[in-house]
Amino acid sequence: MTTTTGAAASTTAAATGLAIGTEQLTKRYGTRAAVDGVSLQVPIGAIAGFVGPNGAGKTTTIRMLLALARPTAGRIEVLGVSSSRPQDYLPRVGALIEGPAFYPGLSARRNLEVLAALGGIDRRRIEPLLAQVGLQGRERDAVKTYSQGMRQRLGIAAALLPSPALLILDEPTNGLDPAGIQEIRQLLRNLREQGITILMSSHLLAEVEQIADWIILLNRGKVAYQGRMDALLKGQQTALIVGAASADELRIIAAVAREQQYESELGDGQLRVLAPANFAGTLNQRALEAGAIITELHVERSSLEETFFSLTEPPTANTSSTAGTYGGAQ
Amino acid sequence: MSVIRAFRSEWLKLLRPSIILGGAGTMCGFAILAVVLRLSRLGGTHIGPGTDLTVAMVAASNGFAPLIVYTAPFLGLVALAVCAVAVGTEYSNGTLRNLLVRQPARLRLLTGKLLALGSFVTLAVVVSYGVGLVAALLLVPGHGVSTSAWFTAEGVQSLLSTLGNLALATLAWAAFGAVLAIVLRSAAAAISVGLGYLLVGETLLTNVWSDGNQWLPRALLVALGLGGTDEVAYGRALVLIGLYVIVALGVAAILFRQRDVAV
Repeated sequence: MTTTTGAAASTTAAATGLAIGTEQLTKRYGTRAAVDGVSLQVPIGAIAGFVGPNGAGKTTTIRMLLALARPTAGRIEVLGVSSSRPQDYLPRVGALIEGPAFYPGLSARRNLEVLAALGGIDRRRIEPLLAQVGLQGRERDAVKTYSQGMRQRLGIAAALLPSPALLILDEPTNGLDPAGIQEIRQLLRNLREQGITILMSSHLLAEVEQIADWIILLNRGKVAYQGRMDALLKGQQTALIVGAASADELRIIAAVAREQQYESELGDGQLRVLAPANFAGTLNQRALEAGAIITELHVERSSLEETFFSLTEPPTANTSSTAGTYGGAQ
Repeated sequence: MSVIRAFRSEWLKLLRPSIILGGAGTMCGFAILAVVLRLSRLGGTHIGPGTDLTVAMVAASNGFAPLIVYTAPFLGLVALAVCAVAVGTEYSNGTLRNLLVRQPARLRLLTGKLLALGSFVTLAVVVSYGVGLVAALLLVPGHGVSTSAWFTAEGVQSLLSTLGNLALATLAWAAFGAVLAIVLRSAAAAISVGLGYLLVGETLLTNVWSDGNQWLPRALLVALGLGGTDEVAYGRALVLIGLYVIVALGVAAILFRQRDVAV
């Protein structure tokens, strides 16, 4: 690893604006394609959520990004460097892959020393990192005495050890309690503010929704969607939740909505009108004209979870969006 | 530089009580046990073919060799297990992927790791040899035998050559342990297959192949550790074991470099 190579690679990455780019990335095991023609794009500085059902190919993709597995076909560039030269980009990549893996008989500190020695990393980074992930005071205890949450924190510390430009985290909040999840969320936001790009796979979709600004949905080895998180959610179904003083008034409002070709569902003292947010004003006015007073009106947007299922449960979605792409072709 | 980093990194892992006590400690224990058991049969016979121990043998300038050389297979088995554990648990713990992210040049990582394991095994053999020697120096005079000839010029040369043979044989056992762990990607499987072959498999093979001892690894390793036997000349053992180790390490290097890390 030379400074010149690293600088050149950084220039290339900056030129493309991508921290990670793949083209038609494919990994086959026999006849089964675990990853099938995946073209990923992760912009520099993003927190990218990498989600998909079990067996979608997330971990296989991550392994290929980290040169742990060889692609059957396709091209990978990480930080502007081809995956055929992993020694030129991995020193600037931190990774937590498939859960934290450590030598159970060694202390947290010694585990990090092993990795620091191997990567030629200054050992003085270890102490502040352990403090940063909340393991100060336990750093001399054997890792086998750690809880899953503590191991997870140590895994994140190990990923941060090389002062990375890119962090690849597989289920980083796995095993953490709510307070720990919040801490990690804040840590990741702070890291983004420092200019670090983060690719984070997770099955906790609500977690990804809160933290990621870029999203990649993988399903059956293919990209079902990638693009900005807000664009994905914006393009999905919204509903208007309407309240009124009586059930009769709600029925009047439902009739008003039906006149405008919007279906609605009555239940639990509220009416759920399947309509875009900008229909709220019209609905309010027409309901008043029809003699019903709306006492409550708010917009319900699809969560990432609902969007996720709408994209992954049917064979494939082919709706397009201005800021993101379905089917992976951007 | 990256090989040196891998070497240093591996040593940080080796310096833990389980490896030091379980590996080097056990080797020292075997060395003391060998000396004590051999001395208990001093002047007796029927220990085994070619293993009679006489006062004249012990009093000679190479008198320590017959006390210690029979530890070679035991030191070798410990070395095989230590190296199989050191390499195999990288797969089972999942730590190999961390190492490969920090050092993606796989052959350099493997080279540094094997050099560290080799140096550890060599050091353990030297220490256990030293411990055995101290035990012998304490116990032999009690049998009315002088050890003064051991420290003549000829005696010191014998001490060093015996140590060299033990170290070479033990290193070869260690290499086979590491190679098996890479091929099988598991410490337990490597130890099982290694010990199974060496303790049972080769015995069965030599029952059906009369010249087997001239070619098969266990017989050659034993001959190497003993400095040659009636059946297998030292030179033959050295050359053949050297070839086997080179081929085995070559296969392991190819697998280590080419295979996906799926754990």
